[in-house]
Amino acid sequence: MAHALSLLDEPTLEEVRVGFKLFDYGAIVIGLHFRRFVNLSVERRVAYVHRWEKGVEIQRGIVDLLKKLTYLGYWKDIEAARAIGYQGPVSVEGGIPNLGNAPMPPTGQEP
Amino acid sequence: MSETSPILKVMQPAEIPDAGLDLRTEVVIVGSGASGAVMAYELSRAGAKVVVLEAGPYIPSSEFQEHTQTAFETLYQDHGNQVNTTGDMVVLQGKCIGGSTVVNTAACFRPPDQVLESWRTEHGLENLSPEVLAPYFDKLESNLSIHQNEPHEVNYNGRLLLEGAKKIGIPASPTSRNVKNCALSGHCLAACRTDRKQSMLVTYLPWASELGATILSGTRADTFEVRDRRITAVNAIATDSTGRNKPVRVEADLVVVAAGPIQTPLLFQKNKLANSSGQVGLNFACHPSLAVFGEHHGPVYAWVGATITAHAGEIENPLRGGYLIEAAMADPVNTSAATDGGVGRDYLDFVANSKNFQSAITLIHDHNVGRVFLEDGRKRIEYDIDDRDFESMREALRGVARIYFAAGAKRVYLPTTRRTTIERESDVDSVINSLTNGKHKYRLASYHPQGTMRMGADPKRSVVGPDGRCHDLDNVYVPDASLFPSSIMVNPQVTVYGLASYIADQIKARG
Ligand SMILES: Cc1cc2nc3c(=O)[nH]c(=O)nc-3n(C[C@H](O)[C@H](O)[C@H](O)COP(=O)(O)OP(=O)(O)OC[C@H]3O[C@@H](n4cnc5c(N)ncnc54)[C@H](O)[C@@H]3O)c2cc1C
Repeated sequence: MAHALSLLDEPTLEEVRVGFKLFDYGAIVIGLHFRRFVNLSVERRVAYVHRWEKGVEIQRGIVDLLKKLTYLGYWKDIEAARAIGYQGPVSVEGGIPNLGNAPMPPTGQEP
Repeated sequence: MSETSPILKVMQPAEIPDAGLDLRTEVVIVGSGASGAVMAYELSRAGAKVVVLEAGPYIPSSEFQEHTQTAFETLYQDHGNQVNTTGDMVVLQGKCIGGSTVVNTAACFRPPDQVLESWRTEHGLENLSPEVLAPYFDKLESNLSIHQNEPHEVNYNGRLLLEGAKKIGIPASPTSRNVKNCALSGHCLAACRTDRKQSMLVTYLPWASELGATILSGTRADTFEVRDRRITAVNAIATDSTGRNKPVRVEADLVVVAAGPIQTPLLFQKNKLANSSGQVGLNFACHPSLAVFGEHHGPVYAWVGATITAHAGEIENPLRGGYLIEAAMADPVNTSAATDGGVGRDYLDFVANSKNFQSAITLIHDHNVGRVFLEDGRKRIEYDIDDRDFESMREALRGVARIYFAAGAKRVYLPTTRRTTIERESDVDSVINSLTNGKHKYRLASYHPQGTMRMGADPKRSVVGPDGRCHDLDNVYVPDASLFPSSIMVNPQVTVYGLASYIADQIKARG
């Protein structure tokens, strides 16, 4: 996740920071859990996420971004993907030769 | 000149002296993607001295890793994070030598006749008839090894689409692709490691290079010098791997801006040029795409084989609510990004089953309701799904879901931001009818931005004339996907290549 965030430009990153803070601290007030999201039990976290999924536009946006960044981070490790049957890279491993650049087209082509 | 394997020579920022470069040429081309590369070759072939400036890096195929996130980070605009202003649609573009053609999925379609006809009647483009363009497409299809997928190039996922569509009477066929002896690695989106996809990186750019074109990577065009109605020089910034900026100035007789449908209008806006119509950056369309998964009882392994294998839909009928469904590979990253599998246990079950997923994406002929502009120097892509287009999207979703059930799926996952499934065929209409348009409700992706430098005969309503030249400027041409006066519904690369090739001919004819 930290790596994915590091690829954002500064103004976007700032918006994301504010959004995630709202999500985390929102659990205290909006969620009426009186604790930050990070301190909730797993069951309550899941319930809180579901509530934001059904929330207003900004809530939907924040929770969706959070999920996407989590997936990106998680699947970066190709071994995680292999565990569910995904092949990962194949060409070098399979010894598939490079074709190289295509030959020049015939001269005098029309149009 | 080598007969068999032309060599691509690229000048990288590290090779540019700290003091920068001052070049003089006949033609300078901004951008090395689909349109820039075709222009570079065609104009070099006509004997012109050509310089190509490309903002992205030069990454040879031997460095491609067949790893989605690595590809996003190194080969895509904004590391794959380019989004609309609302933040609910990723707008993907390549940013590297070869542009989007390096990372595209190689599907090839000529523009539907109906679209070209509407360009004629609504935008005065009498010249772009199917008959005029046909020889250009014939040439490109031959040069880029474009052929309809042969049986071995259609994986099980593709066959399920063909079978399901046939059962319920939706036209379907194997897709054509610009691939030579495809190794079926399933990694088109991460770029072709073995040079089988006939992208600009292995075709038109090496060919242009062989004919003497100078190609600079990591060099972003920034400002234009203007005299009378002409751009006389392009000022660019080359940035090396240590972050050092070096100025590059290219003086030229003719300027081609082929930076793609986001960057091209931004360049003109920044330089306050070519905008007497007020249309620069307007009319943005993008074929908003949705991915849909159908869970089967046994493995489908949609990620094994060619990336796009077959398609279904009324593709000749874009103006009458047509849509296009393409059987597409989906690795774990793309699957997770494209639909909500839930959270916690639900998500784990979802991904654990993903090898059983049939997978396809939808494309629609969207209206040109968006705009691209700079706000406090920051790029903005203002685009939300228009209600009319939402109806087409629902129609496409209905089509996919019905095909999946006909092919034997037991459940369909819809591309919503909150997990939505259809559990049986009889529920298709009720579930899809209950979907409503709105922000952050769907996992949207655009692979086909277009339309921001509209081509047309009327200088009051368009930026670029029928020959590709800016109405307001005498020596400046735009051949990229920003030209499209309307969206075309089908994947656009062939249309871009064809128009670029046609525009190169107009330049040659002008002398
Ligand atoms: C992931 C993906 C999948 C796709 N799949 C398909 C498909 O299957 N079939 C199909 O037909 N089409 C597909 N497309 C779309 C197709 O590749 C594009 O429509 C086509 O490449 C557009 O051509 P272009 O010349 O307008 O821009 P591009 O090919 O995007 O090239 C523009 C180039 O300009 C460079 N540039 C931008 N700004 C500057 C600047 N200031 N200075 C210098 N250089 C600059 C960019 O870095 C880029 O390299 C796909 C695109 C993507 C991103």
